[in-house]
Amino acid sequence: MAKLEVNLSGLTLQNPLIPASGTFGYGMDFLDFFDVNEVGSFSCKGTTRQPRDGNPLPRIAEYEGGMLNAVGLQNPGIETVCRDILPELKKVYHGRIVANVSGFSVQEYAETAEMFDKEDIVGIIELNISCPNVHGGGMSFGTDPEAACEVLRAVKARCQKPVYVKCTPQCADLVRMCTELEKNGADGLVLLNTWLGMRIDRKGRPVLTNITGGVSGAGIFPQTLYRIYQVYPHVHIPIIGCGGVSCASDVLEMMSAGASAVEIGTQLLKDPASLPKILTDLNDLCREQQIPEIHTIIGRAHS
Amino acid sequence: MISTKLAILSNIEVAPGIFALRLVRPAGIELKAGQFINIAVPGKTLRRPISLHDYDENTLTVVYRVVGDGTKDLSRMSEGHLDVLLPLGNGFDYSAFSNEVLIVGGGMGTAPLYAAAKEALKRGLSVKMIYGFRSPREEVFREKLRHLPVQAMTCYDTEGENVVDVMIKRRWENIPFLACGPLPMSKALAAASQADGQFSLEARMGCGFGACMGCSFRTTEGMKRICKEGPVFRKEEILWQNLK
Ligand SMILES: Cc1cc2nc3c(=O)[nH]c(=O)nc-3n(C[C@H](O)[C@H](O)[C@H](O)COP(=O)(O)OP(=O)(O)OC[C@H]3O[C@@H](n4cnc5c(N)ncnc54)[C@H](O)[C@@H]3O)c2cc1C
Ligand SMILES: Cc1cc2nc3c(=O)[nH]c(=O)nc-3n(C[C@H](O)[C@H](O)[C@H](O)COP(=O)(O)O)c2cc1C
Ligand code: FES
Repeated sequence: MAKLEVNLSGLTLQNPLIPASGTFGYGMDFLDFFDVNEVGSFSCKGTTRQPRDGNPLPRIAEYEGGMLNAVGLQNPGIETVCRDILPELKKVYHGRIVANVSGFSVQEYAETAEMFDKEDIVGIIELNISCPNVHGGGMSFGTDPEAACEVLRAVKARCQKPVYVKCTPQCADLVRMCTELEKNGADGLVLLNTWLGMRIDRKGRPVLTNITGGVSGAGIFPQTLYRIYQVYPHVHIPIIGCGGVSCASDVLEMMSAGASAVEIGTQLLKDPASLPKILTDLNDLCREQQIPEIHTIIGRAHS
Repeated sequence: MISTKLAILSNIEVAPGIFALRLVRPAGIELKAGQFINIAVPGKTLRRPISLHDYDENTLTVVYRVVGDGTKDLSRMSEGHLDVLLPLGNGFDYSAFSNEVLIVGGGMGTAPLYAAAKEALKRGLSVKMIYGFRSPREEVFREKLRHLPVQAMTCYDTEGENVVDVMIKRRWENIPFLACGPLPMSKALAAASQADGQFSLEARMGCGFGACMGCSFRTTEGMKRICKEGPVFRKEEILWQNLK
C-alpha cells in the first residue's frame, strides 16, 4: 500500500480525495454506497447565512463532457446546518469536513464562516467566491481581487481555522487573484469552481431557466489542470485541485500540476459508488509508478 | 438503494419509438409502484431516470420513449448489463384510498401506471383508468390492460378529447386519483378533480438520489426534491407554477 496521506494546513488527510461541494450534500446521501469515513475529507453543500430556495427548475443540463448546474445555492442556512445536520453527521463521520461558505455581502460571509469555525467537525473553511449562478452575488467577488480579499480578511478576522478560497475560472487574471489572496492571509486555494456555460434545447430555447449554469465534469479537466499548473509556481500555500477529476490517473495528474489534494464532484453524481474504486486504483497506480508517498509528487510537473 | 449491474433480458420496440426494457431484478430489493430507476447510458454523464412499469419476483420492466441521444443509445442495447441505481423515490401512497381509485395517465406518463393499477388491485381497490395518447399508434398497454380487471377508457389527442374531458363525462371527478403525465394534463386534472390525488412528477436530475439539489422545487411544505421526497406528491402540496 502506498502512503496516500496528504497535509492541508496542518490537517492530515488519510488520502487526497475530497468530494466537492454541492455534489455530496452534507455527507449523508452516499451512505448506501460507501462508508463516508473512506474519504480524505468532504466539502459540504455551499451554505449561506439564511436558507435559500435556489433557482427555478430546470436546474440541470448535460453536455458531452459532463453537466451544467444552476442549483443556485439551495441550502437550509447555517443555523439549521449547525443545529440539525452536523450533530447527525457526527454520528456517522469521524473526520473533519471542509465547510463551504457562500454569501452576498462581506458581513454574510463572515457571520456564516464564524458559525462554522466553532464546530469541531469543521477542519477547513472554504469560501466559495465563485458560484456563477446567483445574480449579483458570488460572481462579482470572484472576478475582482479587491472584493475577494475584503471577504477573505473579514472571515480571517473571525475564524481560527484555516481559510481556503475557492476561485472561479471566470476571473480574468487568476494568477494575480491567487497571489493577492495569499498576501491577504489565505491559508490555501481551491482551484476551481465551475466554468460558465449554457445549453439550448431542440426548440431553440435555453435549457436552464437561469439561462447560464456551471459547467463541470470530465470535459473541463484539461483547462482546470492548466490553471493549477499556472498558479502553482506563484504561491506558497496549498492548492486543492477541482474540476473534471473522474479517475485515479486524473488525481495523479492534478497533484503533479501542483494540487495537494483533489475535489471530485460530477464523477460522484454519475457513479456514486466510484469513490472507493478510485481509491483502490490510486493505490495500484502509485505502486505501478513506484510512488511510495503520494505527497512527493505535488508539483512534480514543474521540475 | 443500491448501485448495481442488471442483465438485459429484452429491449423491444412496443410502439413506434417506444421500448420496453426488461431487466433481471436484483435480490433483496423491495420495489413499489411509482418508484423509478436511474440508468447509466454508456458515454453519458447523467443517468436517465425511468419509472418502474412492471415487476415480478425475478424481473423488472421499464417503458420509455426515445426522445434524445440517451434514450436512442439505450434503445440500441439488446444484451449485456446496465449500470442502474434503484429503487429511487417513494411510491404511490395507497393508504389514501379506501375502496376505489381513478388512475389517470397521459403519453409516457402511462408507463408507471400499469404497476400502479396492479398494486391497487392487489390491495382490493376497484380501479378505473383513463389513458390519453397522442394517437392510437402510441397506445402501448392495451393488450396488457385487457388482462387486468379494471375499467379502462382511452382517448386520443387526434380525436380532440383529453383525459379531463373523459373524467368529467364519466362523472369520475370525485374519485381519489393517481396520475402521471405531461404538465398541462396534470394541471388541468388538479383543477378539474374535486377529489384528493397524487401526481408523479418529473425533473431533469443530476443524481437521482438526493445529493445535488438539481431537482428541488418549492411546495406548500417547503423545498422538496423530486427524486427523494417525490416523485409522487399529493395534489395539495404541489405549487404548479414552480414546475417546468
Ligand atoms: C422520475 C422520472 C421518471 C421517468 N419515467 C419515464 C418513463 O417511465 N418513461 C419515459 O419514456 N420517460 C420517463 N422519464 C423521462 C426520461 O427520463 C427522459 O425522457 C430521458 O431522460 C430523456 O433522455 P434523452 O437522452 O433521450 O433526452 P435528451 O433530451 O437528449 O436528454 C438530455 C438531458 O435531459 C434530461 N431529460 C430530458 N427530458 C427529460 C424529462 N422529461 N425528464 C427528466 N429528464 C429529462 C436527460 O435525462 C438528460 O440528462 C422520467 C423522468 C423522471 C424524472
Ligand atoms: C450540482 C452541483 C452543485 C454545486 N454546488 C456548489 C456549491 O454549493 N458550492 C461550491 O463551491 N461549488 C459547487 N459546485 C461546484 C463543485 O464543487 C465543483 O467545483 C465543480 O463541479 C467542478 O468539479 P467536478 O468537475 O469534479 O464536478 C457544484 C457543482 C455541481 C455539479
Ligand atoms: S437529482 Fe440530485 S437531488 Fe434530485
